[in-house]
Amino acid sequence: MVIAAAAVRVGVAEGGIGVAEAVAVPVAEGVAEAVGVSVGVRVALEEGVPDAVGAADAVGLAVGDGGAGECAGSRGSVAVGVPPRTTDSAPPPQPQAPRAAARLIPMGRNERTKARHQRRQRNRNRRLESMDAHPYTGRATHCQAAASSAGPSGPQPPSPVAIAARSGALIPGIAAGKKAQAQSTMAIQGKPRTRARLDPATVLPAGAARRSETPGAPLLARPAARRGGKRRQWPAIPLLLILAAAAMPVDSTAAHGLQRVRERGVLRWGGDLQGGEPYVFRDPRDASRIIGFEVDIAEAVARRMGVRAEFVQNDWHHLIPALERGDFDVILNGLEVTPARRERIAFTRPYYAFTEVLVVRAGDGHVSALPELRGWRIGTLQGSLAFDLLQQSSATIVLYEGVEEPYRDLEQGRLDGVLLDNIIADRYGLPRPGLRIAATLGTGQYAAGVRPDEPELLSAVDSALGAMAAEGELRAILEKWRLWNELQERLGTSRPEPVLEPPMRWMTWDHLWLFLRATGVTLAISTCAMALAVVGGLGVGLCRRYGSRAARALATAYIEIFRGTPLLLQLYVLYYGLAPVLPLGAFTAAVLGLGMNYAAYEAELYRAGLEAVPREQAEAAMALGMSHALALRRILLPQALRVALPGIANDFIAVLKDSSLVSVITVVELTKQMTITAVDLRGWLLPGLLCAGLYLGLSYPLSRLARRLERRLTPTQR
Amino acid sequence: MTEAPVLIARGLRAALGGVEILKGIDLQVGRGEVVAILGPSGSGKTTLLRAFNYLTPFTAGEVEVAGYRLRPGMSERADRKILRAVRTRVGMVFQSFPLFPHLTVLQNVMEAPHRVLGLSSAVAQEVALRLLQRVGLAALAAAMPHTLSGGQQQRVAIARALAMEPLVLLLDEPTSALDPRLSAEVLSVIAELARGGQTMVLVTHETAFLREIAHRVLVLDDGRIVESGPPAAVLDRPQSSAARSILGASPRGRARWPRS
Repeated sequence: MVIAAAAVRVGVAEGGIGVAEAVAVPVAEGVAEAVGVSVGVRVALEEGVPDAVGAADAVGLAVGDGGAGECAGSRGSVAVGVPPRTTDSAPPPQPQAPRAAARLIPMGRNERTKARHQRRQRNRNRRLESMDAHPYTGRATHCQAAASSAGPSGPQPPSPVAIAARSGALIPGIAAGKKAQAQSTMAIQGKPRTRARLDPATVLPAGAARRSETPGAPLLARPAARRGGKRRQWPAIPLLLILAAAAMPVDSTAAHGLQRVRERGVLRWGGDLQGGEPYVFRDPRDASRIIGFEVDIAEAVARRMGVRAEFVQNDWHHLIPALERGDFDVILNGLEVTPARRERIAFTRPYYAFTEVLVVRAGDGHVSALPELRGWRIGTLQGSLAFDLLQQSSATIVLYEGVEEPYRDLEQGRLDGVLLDNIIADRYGLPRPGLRIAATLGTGQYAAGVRPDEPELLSAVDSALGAMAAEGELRAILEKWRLWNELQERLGTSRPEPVLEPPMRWMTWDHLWLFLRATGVTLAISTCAMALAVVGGLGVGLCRRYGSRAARALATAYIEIFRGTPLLLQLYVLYYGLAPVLPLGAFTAAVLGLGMNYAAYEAELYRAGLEAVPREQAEAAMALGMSHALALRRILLPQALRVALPGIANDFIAVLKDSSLVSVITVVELTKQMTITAVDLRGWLLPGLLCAGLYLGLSYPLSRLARRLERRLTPTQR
Repeated sequence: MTEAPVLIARGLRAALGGVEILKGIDLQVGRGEVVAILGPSGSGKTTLLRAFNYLTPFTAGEVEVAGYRLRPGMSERADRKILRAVRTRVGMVFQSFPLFPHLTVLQNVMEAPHRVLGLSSAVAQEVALRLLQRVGLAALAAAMPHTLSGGQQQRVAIARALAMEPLVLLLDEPTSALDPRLSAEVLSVIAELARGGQTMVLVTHETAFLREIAHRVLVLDDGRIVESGPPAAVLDRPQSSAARSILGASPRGRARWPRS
């Protein structure tokens, strides 16, 4: 059993009710044994709420087995909340299908991992205390992984699990300061196995909220496997969390998100143009305009909040760290609701339900479930839900930055399949004649994400989305983009009709203008970085050659560290890692990162240059009574610079090219512009050539200039 | 010439790489005196000159210039004031005439007076031009060093050293890197300086030349002064085996350098 323990929390709320009390309820022993789950149920009741107890009676509860384990195993808990008023209308509790056949949980880790996990769990429980539920009738699980085709046959019963988990945080009027972090759940449907069914009614019969042996104690997840005699197993920590570790969340100053947005009159929303159509992309007819169904949603949300929407470009993989940094107020860019993300940000109600579609070449074999992918090369996007799913299989995962490239590689035989959201598959994969859908391996939802410490903003955006859904505006938008399907209506699991669209686009003058602007950014960053490197490198180089012992050691350490670690890593650390203590702007961080990195190389160039100056030069200067500094400044350095100049020019050209790395910290420079445009145009050739031409246009004059300088400075003989 | 000495060395010992090069040198150089040093290779001639302005630190003894005393174990950083005081008063001309390649001839000469002595650039330029005239290179003031012949470069180097108005000028084999024709132009400049009363310590193998201009000749062998006296006495009647072997190996001709 994969759920080590489920801390189940039932939030009862009605119209802005917070949680006042929590009771841990152990699940009936038999049930727990049968499913290997120890479920602690917290029924949170608000004091003074009329018929709070009655509400508790109405609680329906379902704990996902295997699939939930995917979330719960990694998180250690499943939050369950059911709105009391909606249980009547909710479909009858449905037995959860047993675990997916996929190998969901990697083998157990060592003790340290366990300790870390328990620590995390404690924190989570603390967070749980402020969870609320409200009568939001979201119907589906967050993500249902249909592990086999036998799984979803017809409309699936919505799982109450996670409804409150998702909606819990959405209630307006949550006591300020409380973290409205909701726990997520996931139910996976798969081939029936001999697993006990977990019926909400069974787990927690109405009114069966028994007090736990240790009331009030933190909801410690108890490893069920301990009882079952099995070793406790934890899933691999999703890649996202690794990223998260590198980028410590910024604890934003206060929960003034909504106030800030109102005062500014602007709702800044983050997304990545590279995601392409139909999410957020440049209008092919007018490249100065950004369009997409998420643009429409963002504008509608902003309008309902009485402000203006402003798009902020950001690398998709780093939307969450950028949100935490405060680069924008809300993420609205195909962000799948996953347990890992719930760990870091708060989600609104979903605005789109999608399926994970495996696309293969037409002639290839049949696949119906994740485990069958063993040994396959499957392409997907980094940080996507599909990526998370694939990690549970034994497939070889190939990560891409854009949505066009994986399908192209699939066509060319570099991949055996591509697992991506159906929207992407429809637009970028299926139009290719040689490709077909092999299976739908899961479902998920897009939702907007905000910082967890801004509950007012969360509820404002959520209410706007809710109103849009209720008034049909959301449907209108989705229909406009040909995204509407019955999946949206039910938020269940059904296969959408592929939307075919011929992928033919041409480059326009606007694109050229964007490229030129990006070239300017590249040039500006490179020049500033190089100036910093030349000056900083001089300091480091002089320290290394003439400094005291300590200064020499420091300079050497600097050089070794900056030369010996990847620039990309340095940029990550500088921009995301240092954000809590030193929130640098993207441009500043880019210049600093590149400059500090290249300073290490410049320092070595100066050192080599100084060593190349004949000793007699220094002696002649000293014999004339010159001080060290004077001799250095007037006699030695000018000569050393001359020796170093070709290297410096070389480095300048290298910086021009390395500046492409700063796109990871959200700067749109030439290369990033190229990749974005390539997605827009669905072709690499033209943007690639243009990009290469622009780089050459920058670097060639530079190398000519360097050669001329060198000739002018270098004596033909000594 | 027995006026008040401008340079005094007492018991100088110096070692390079653990090998003792100077083994106790005592020397006084009077004002206006021209002292020539002879000696076989490795006898310590160059080391002795470099010890005079502490380019080569010595291990024992002391050097006194204009009341400033150099002692063993001085550091470039801590004792920079004394070192600077001495070095601005002791000019040095190297065998390899290391001009500053990135500066013009004029800038080479005026750099130190301007930056070290603090003369205004106009004054320093005037001084430099006068000195270049003196070494016959005023016309090449704007040239870059690498366009000059070796002899011209060495003359610029001499002008550069003279621009500091040194009490004593040290010349370390100033012509050994030059062919005879170029040597001659350098030697004539040195001779002219000698006639002008410039105090000099000169290491050279040009015995014919030093016979004309030196007031005193020292013979150095294995780190010690083995012979000392007027040129005629030392050159014509060498007492030490070292002196005899050097002088025997060198042509005993008369002066072949042109007089100016």
